Amino acid sequence: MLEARNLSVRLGGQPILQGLNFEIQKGERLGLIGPNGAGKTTLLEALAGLLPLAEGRIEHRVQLFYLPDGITPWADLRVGELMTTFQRLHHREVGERKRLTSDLDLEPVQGKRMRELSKGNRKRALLALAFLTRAPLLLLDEPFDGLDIHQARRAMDLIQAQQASGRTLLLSIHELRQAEGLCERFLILVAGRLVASGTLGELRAHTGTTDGLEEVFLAV
Amino acid sequence: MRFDVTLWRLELRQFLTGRAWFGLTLILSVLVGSTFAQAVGIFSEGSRSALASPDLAQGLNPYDGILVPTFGSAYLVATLLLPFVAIRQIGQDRESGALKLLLGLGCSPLRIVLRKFLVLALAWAVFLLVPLSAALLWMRLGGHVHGPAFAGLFLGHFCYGLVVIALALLAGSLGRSAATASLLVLAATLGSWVLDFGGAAGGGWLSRLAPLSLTQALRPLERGLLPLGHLLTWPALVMVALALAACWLHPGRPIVRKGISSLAGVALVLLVFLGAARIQHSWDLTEDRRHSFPIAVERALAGIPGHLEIEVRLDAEDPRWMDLDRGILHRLQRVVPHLRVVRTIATAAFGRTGPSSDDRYGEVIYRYQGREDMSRSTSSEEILPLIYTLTETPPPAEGPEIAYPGYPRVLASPPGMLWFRLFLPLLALALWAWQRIYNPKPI
Repeated sequence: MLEARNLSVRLGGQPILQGLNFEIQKGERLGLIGPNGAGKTTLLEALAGLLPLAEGRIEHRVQLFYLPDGITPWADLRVGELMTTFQRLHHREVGERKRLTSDLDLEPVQGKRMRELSKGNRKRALLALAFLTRAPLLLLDEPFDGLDIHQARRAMDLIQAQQASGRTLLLSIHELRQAEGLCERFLILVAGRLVASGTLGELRAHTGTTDGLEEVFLAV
Repeated sequence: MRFDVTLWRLELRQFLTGRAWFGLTLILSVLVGSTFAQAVGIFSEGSRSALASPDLAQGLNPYDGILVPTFGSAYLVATLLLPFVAIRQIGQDRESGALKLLLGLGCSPLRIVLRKFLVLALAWAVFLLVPLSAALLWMRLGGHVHGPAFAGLFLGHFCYGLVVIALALLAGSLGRSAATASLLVLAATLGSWVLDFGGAAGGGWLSRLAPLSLTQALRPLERGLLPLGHLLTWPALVMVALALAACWLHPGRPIVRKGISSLAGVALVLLVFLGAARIQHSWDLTEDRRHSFPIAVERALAGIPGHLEIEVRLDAEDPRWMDLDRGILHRLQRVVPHLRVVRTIATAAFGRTGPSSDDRYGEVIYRYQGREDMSRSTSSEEILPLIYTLTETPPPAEGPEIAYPGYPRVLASPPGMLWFRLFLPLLALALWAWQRIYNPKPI
């Protein structure tokens, strides 16, 4: 579905990503993990075409939609208005939007402006916008950042439902337990280099550990 | 199609929910109101004397006395405030992350920029209804408005606003922050002002650069002329600025590609400017035909079949050149089918300390089909007969020219104060408040 070959990105003359090679298979939930400053967001932006590549190439045969972290788009517009806009843009049924509103518990904030939302509410509203698109490949940067445990679980269920409906997801997740619970395969990025990739079992075999993703990550 | 309509609505809503347009309307209303009242006051003063003397009345033209100064407020607002409204429209998309989402939705940067431009252009047209309402008020008060000249003035200010919007969108795309973008666009608009003042006062290289000033571009339309060249340069400038804005807006384009596109755009604009500079044709939209010869004279001159060449041995800074250019050459250029004007004097020939020692300085030589004649005059009374003789054109019969009557109008008190200072601001406030509380119910 997406193939990155020798992908390198430089920002301000500094190498941020160096020689990354990986593929995203159709229908998988791929977790992108790594320490702060590893280049996770840069990689997502490069994949979305929002950063010029210093070297390498990205090939994808499907449309993708990238949801950045920490944004407040159309700050003066109301949540309901934005969701309706996205629903119309992507020819979604009204019922689909209503179901998403309910699933993400967004009814109480429908009349609020984006700028008035708390971090968690804003994140859920943005997730709703991403789910309303029809892009077969979703790139989500920190989709659970700012969500409490109940909200995060509900969002995880929705992400699994998205996959079940045929979507592919690349998720940059800071919280390793959430990543372990949600993703089927992982890309581990450290200092701009892809140090390991595979399923949890493959990573365990690679690092010689038998524990969870946290231990694998520390071993890598 | 549906995709586009929905994005248009989104763009329009984004514009209307901001405070910028409200502030601009408020300031424009107060400014137009004050300028209009002042202009009417001065015009009334002049009219009092003119009512007693018909000769004085001929000098009273509401176009120069009322409309041009009133629209001057729109110029101020376009120069100093409109750029910020445009920068906000593009800057907030970059800063809020909306741009990334729009690009992710498959919108091309050019379409994003075009949508913003058209929404802002529509808004600018609506803003111009404020000075337009002053013209309507003037008519309601019994004043006179000459349609073509007024249409030209409106078009000029509308186009000036479009150029400013396009430059502001380009600055908004180039600058990483709204502050940087504001500095860039103010450098262009205020730089134009400096060029204009410097060109008028200083002469020298500044006067040579002055035609590049945006302010200068508006001046012919304020004088009632519609130059053909402007109809080429303004759209070209707008289109190139928008194309470059789209190019710089996309964060994923390599900087080298952006740089090459920018150089190509600048080269294209320069080419169009150079080409347009050769086009001297313009339309005289004034009611008193101040930029034209009498109709009978124009008909006679239009019948000259061959190539007429006029060689002027005057410096560009010489007042005689300005008289000749404005009073004769521009008028000839609009009617003589094959006319070539050449100025063959070096700048150094006319210094500030006095005229050149060149004996032939000041000569104007007229050539037609191997014959030539010379005159130092800048008066049409002397030059036109010379051209008739040289080109063997029968002089037109002296017909009764309809004299411009003038339109003196005395008004006792400043008009429209409530309209401009109370009703329009309240209307803008009401619209803004409605937009703020407007909460469209999801279907």
